[in-house]
Formats: sequence, C-alpha cells, structure tokens
Amino acid sequence: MTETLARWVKAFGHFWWDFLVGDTPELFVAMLVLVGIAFGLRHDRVAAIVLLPLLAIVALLGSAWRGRVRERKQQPVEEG
Amino acid sequence: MSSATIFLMLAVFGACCVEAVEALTIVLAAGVTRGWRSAMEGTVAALVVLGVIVGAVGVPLIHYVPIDALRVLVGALLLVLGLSWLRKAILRASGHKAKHDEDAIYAETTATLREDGSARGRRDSLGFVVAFKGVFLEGMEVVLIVISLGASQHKLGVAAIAAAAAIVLVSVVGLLVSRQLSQVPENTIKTVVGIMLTSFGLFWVGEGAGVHWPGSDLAIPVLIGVFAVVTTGAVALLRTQTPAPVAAHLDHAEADGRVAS
Repeated sequence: MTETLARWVKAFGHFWWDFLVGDTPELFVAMLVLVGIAFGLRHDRVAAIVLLPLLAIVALLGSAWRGRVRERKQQPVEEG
Repeated sequence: MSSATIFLMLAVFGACCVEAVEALTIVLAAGVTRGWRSAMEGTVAALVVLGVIVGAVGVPLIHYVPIDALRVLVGALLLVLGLSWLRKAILRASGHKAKHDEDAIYAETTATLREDGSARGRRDSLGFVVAFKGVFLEGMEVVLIVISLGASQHKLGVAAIAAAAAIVLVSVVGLLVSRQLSQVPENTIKTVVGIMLTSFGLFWVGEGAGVHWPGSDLAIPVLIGVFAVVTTGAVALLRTQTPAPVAAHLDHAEADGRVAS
C-alpha cells in the first residue's frame, strides 16, 4: 500500500516536472519572470502591456533558436 | 457570446483534436493487435478517470480559489504549455524537428504489441493498459487546458463540451478512416492552439496580477494576431537556416511511456 502510494506520488511529481520544466527549462524561467513582471508593473499599465508580450516573444524565439541548435547537434554526422 | 468564450471553445476543441488523434492511434494499435474489447474498456476507463479529475479539481477551483489568484495560476500554466507547443510547432514547420508521424507510431506500437503474442477474443490486460495509458496521458494535457481555460472564465461546462465534441469528431472520423490519421494536419492545429494558449496565458497572468488590458477581452484576438505574426516570421527565418534533412519518424521522446513493453 505504502509502496503503491509512493509510486503514485513519484509519477505525479514526474508528470509535473515534465510538464512544467521538461527539456525547456528556459520557458519555465520565462513564465516565472513574466508573472513577476506582471505583478511588478501592475501600477504601470502601459509598460506592462508592452513588456509582457515582448518578453513572451523573446522567450519563444530564444527557446526555438536553442531547440534548433540542439536538434542540429543530435543529427547523425554524415560520413564521406 | 463573448470573443473570449469563442476563443476558449476553439482552443479547447483544437487542443483536444490534436491529443485525441494521438490517443486514437494508440487505441487503434491496441484494438487491432490485442482485441477491441480490452482496448475499448481501457479507453472508456481512462475517459471516466479524466472526467472525474475535471469535476474533482475544476469545480472546487471555481468555487473556493479567489478569481485573481486562479487567473495567475492558470495563466502561468497556459503560458508554459502554449509556449512549448508553439516552440515545437515552429521547429517542425521549419524542418528542424521531425514531424509527428502517426503511421510510424502505429507501426511501432502494433509491432511491440504483437511481440507479446495474440490475445484476440478474450480479455487482455496488455491491450487494456496500453489503451488506458495512451488515452490517459494524452488526455491529461487536455484536462489541464479544460480546467485552466474553463475555471479562469467560470465556463468549465463550455470547455468540457468543446473537449467532448472534439473527442466525438476525432473518434468517428478516426474509426471511419482507420489508419489514415497521418493525414490530419496535426502541426498546423498545434500551431494555432499554441498561439491561442500563449495569448490566453499572457492575458490571464496580466489580468490576475492587476494589469488591465486595453479593450478587456478584445485584447485576446490582438495577442493572437501578434503571436501569429511572430510564429510565421520565426518559421520563415528558421527555414533559411539550411536545416539538415529531417525524415518524418516516430518522436521517441513523445512516445516514451505509451507502450508497456
């Protein structure tokens, strides 16, 4: 019973780790930064509505670029 | 019906279509190789569990968690999910990552299941587990989207109906065309849904934190337009980066854990 419960807790934790962080920890960090900025700039509406989408775009493009570099590294080296 | 509700329905419907196609591939493979009875029982059991999770988690969230805290929480979840779907869709559309190939997944799953011998005509635990796992794992992302979008707008019922409609549509079409699931433009749907989830996530994080977007709900289509332009630009830019040829094959990272071998 305890073993089964431990296995379920472990699987639950694994699911959330994979979901939130997985192989794109930069997006998780970006999300935390975006939430922090939203709270920090809640009294400066103009700055918030400009910065939030801008930072989300930077995070997306940065992560896609990182993914491109990583996918290239994983490609098998052609012989000859 | 507000624009936010329409986009909510479209986002849930699209996300559910993508995940349902992936789940159906596994169910079809389990049904063909291990017998339909066990595959169907596994599918129904997983759908029931997912439905219970939506009811058990979604309803209390709406009633007991303050709306602003809920919006920040679900907005953050949607941002992570949306940005990661969008990133993957950009890499696939630009040729830097192999596209999700349902035919390859189907072939690999059936081959793995056949190795374990035939079990047709009787109850089969492997067929049940594979179908259950496939539907449950693919369905969990949909459950998160249904709960997040539904709870943040107090429209859990609308979100659940949109998800159910997508499941019914994909199931009917999938069973009619059987193994032609690879024809579904999965990456395109994933791109559109990723754009919507990211836009909703950003909107709700801002609203929950106290940032009021200009035009209120009308900011959502504007954000969707902005991310659509950025995504199109990113795909065009990455296409020029002379990608190495990537053959469509089974994305092992995604398929991990689906087949109990």
